[in-house]
Amino acid sequence: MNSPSPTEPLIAIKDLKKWYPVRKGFLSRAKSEFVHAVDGVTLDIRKGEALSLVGESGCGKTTLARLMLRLVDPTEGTITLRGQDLLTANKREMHRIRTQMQAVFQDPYASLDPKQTILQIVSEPLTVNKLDKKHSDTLDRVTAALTAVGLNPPKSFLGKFPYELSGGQRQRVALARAIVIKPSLIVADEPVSMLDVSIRAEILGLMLKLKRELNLTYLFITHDLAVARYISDRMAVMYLGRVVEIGPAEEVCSNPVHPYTKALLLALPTTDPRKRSVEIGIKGEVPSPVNIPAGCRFKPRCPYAFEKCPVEPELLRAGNHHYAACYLAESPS
Amino acid sequence: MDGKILLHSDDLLRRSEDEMREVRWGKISMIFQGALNSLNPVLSVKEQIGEAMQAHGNFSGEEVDMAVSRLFKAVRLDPERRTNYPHEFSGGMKQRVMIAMALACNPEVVIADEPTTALDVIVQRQILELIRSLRDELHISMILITHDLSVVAQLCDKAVIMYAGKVVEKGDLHSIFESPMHPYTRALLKSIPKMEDAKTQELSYIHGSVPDLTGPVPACRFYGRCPHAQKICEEVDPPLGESSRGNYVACHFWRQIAQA
Repeated sequence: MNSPSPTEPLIAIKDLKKWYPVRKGFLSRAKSEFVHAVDGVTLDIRKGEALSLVGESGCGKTTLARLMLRLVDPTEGTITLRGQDLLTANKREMHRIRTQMQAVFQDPYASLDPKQTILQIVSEPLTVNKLDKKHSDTLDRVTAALTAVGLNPPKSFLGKFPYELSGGQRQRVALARAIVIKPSLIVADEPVSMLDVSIRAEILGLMLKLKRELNLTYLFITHDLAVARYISDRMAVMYLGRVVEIGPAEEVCSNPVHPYTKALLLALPTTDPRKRSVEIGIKGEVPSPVNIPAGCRFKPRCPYAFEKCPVEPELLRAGNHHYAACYLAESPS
Repeated sequence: MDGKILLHSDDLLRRSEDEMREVRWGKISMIFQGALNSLNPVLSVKEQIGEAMQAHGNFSGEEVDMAVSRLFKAVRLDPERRTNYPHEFSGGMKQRVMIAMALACNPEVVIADEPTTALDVIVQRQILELIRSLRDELHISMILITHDLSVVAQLCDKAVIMYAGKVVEKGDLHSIFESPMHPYTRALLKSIPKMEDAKTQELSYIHGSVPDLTGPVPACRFYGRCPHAQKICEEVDPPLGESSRGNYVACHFWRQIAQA
């Protein structure tokens, strides 16, 4: 964003691209086509804010998260954390940088090692980062983390195995593992989408509490706009590898500018039976990220496409700290 | 096993396995959850739909072909693509194929088990609209199984809320969503983040977890997680009683809760 930001960005992403080559045949080495998973994303996350990344499957949300954690390397672009370039950092520097970033994944049944006790699981980041010199110190840190995520009494959980815990408790353990080394950034990839409705609210409330108490910064990935609005300060909507709209969460939900954001909001199922037959206006499904439509990538599905759209729009100012990659942002109707 | 399952006053539990084979797919068919995984990857979708038809009657290849074209039109898929293989379809299209398959033998009842859970919001919306219009066009009765109350609000006329193996509330859609009576239903509805609510409004959630049904359970199974629970709830199973015309609730204290 080129707007003056109230606080320093913790992490800054510039023109980030990740293209995966597609092999044409079983034996052929020709790599002429690419999956444009992330296709030119520029984004800042400020210290202490929760930024949510929303969009449908295949839009590049998870690839962007993996790039930020440097689990995969980008094709192009830069990522800086507190001014330090992640992509030029050597192994040792990267080790140190990683202690500032932790991840929470979607499936609490798959992300915890079934053969490890909760103590082993939660203390692993300490071990990996050689912060476990004294056993009593490790124990204190793990107990503190378990208390912070509401697993009480923490001592009773230390010797348990994941199978003894419910889905909600497992996700709490995953959160405890993420906060135990006191990171500044947590990347949470769909952390509540596998959970039961009743437990979802519990975990969302806990994440807000942890953010407040530990001054955390979140990148929160979700396909659910209502969840995104609830948890985040700012919201970025992705479509086919690009951010098409970004702004304060409340503002994006109440005054969406991009036709894709509008459709997502209209398609959102509500619990009000009287609102069941609203037309969403867009047709078809997301095109393949191998053949991105020329010009505005949303053009083939857009009900408002007009003569400007064959040229791909940049993010244009639509309001206060609110930007949309759509020419309609220039002349709000 | 105890009880009855009546289809047109015919008790299905008294039917033999052979007789049931006729009922399955012929009278009652099903749309499964994992559209992405429930199709056979090595057969064309036409062959798979044909397989379901052949199990219920003798059709020539031409008849199957025509029927599949018709079904494809009904679910708004291009009939030209009926000979394609599952990998050539997107997630939403595969779910349409599954719906076509469920309709292949003109069933009277279709059970849809989480039909949109694996789909994205926009595709989910399109599939729900399709299911709704097919139900109206073909006069099919439908049982929708879901954990997502908003899907219920989008599609159904009546709703039955289950908890730990028992019905706790049932009634018409508007009553359930506008004036839920059972503490469980009320808590479920309050735990969903909604666009209409103020962003700062705190979400409530249900403390604890579902009781383990292999062990002894309290008389009212929601006892232990219920904010209104009293001694009687642990000892006496609350009957499913009529709270208003056509609406039923199984709670000792629904009157007090409704007034509060």
